[in-house]
Amino acid sequence: MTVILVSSDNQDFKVDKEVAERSILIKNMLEDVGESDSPIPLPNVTAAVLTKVIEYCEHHRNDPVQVPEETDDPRKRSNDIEEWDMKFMQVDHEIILAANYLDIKPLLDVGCKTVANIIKGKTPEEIRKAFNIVNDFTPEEEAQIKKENEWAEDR
Amino acid sequence: MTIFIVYISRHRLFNNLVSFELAILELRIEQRETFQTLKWATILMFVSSRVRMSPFFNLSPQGQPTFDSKLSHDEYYQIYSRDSEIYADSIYNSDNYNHRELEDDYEDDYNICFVPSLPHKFNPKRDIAPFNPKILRRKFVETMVVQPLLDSPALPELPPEVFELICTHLSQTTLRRSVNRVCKSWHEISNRCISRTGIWRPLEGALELLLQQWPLIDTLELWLGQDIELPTKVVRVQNYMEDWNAFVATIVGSAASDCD
Repeated sequence: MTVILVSSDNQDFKVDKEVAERSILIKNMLEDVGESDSPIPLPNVTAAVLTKVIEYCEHHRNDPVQVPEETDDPRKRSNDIEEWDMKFMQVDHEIILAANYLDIKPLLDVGCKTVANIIKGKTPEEIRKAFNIVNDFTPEEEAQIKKENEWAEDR
Repeated sequence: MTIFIVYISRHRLFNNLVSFELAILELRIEQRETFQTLKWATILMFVSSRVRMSPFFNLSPQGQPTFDSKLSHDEYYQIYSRDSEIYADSIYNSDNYNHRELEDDYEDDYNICFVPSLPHKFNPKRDIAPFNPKILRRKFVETMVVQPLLDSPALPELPPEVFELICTHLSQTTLRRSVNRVCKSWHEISNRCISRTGIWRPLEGALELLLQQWPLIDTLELWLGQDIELPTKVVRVQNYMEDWNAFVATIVGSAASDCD
């Protein structure tokens, strides 16, 4: 069985239901709608991004569904990204937003790990440069934050 | 008259220090100063052969060669440590190729060390011919960027919950030293992931300090006595503000009663 997904720029994507249901959002929508051929609109995802998301879901279609465990160590690892996922995430970071919107947790995890890996080992200035962020702290605020963190590190 | 040619491999410019690696390669002489340099180099090689070290020669400001026992191999790794590589990718992404240019300077640079085959009773004044220099070429090491890079440096506006998820993949050190200091929005979100521990000790002044830090801490380390050997108790309370407040009321009260 297939479903039709419609991107924000009105492009139709015909995908297997099994693949589409990797997205919890789509899964819930399909459950709500029931047996229907009507297309599913995804107004927050462009065709380019949806293509990549479908590619990811196709690749991981047989992966077991992740069950969040409350007992998990909150400090997660970010060095366990699969090679295929690593190459995949090099393409576009808008996938992270799409994964969040479509509620595809494994894809969101990979995206977050990728960004975390980029942040690691960088100074605040280097992070600003890498992500094009403007420093909106006053010098006094910066000094205060530095002081707070130094105090915490003394522990 | 044939003696030595003094080969200066190439100058290195680093941290405004110019040092000349010096190596003696062939026999031939050109001028008197060179011979003076040669004499020094010969003596240094003789000494280094005694202490079984590979000598490296530098020219002092006065033009005399000096002996440096530290291998430039170490120097190389000191300059191009793993840390530099981690930081390198951002520089590559931001159109700043200074690091690369520095490495390129070293691409065709040599380390030259001598393994002199000296006779048992070597007399530098008399017998200076049988040098057998061995040139060790340093391989150019390509910087490997092991982490995946995103195409565009501009990260779109991430929802706070996504950024919080990113923070869960970062260490406390990274959060405190870097993420927390990037901008106000990052500061606010990353603060939720940073663990800060306050200490309660039965010491004068400790309570006042704790109360100053109170709004920030999420964990309390209780020292049950002044003796550092005594076991401590760590209390982590995240969602029980009432308990926190009750506790602070208790310790403030106990401090007040202690003072009485």
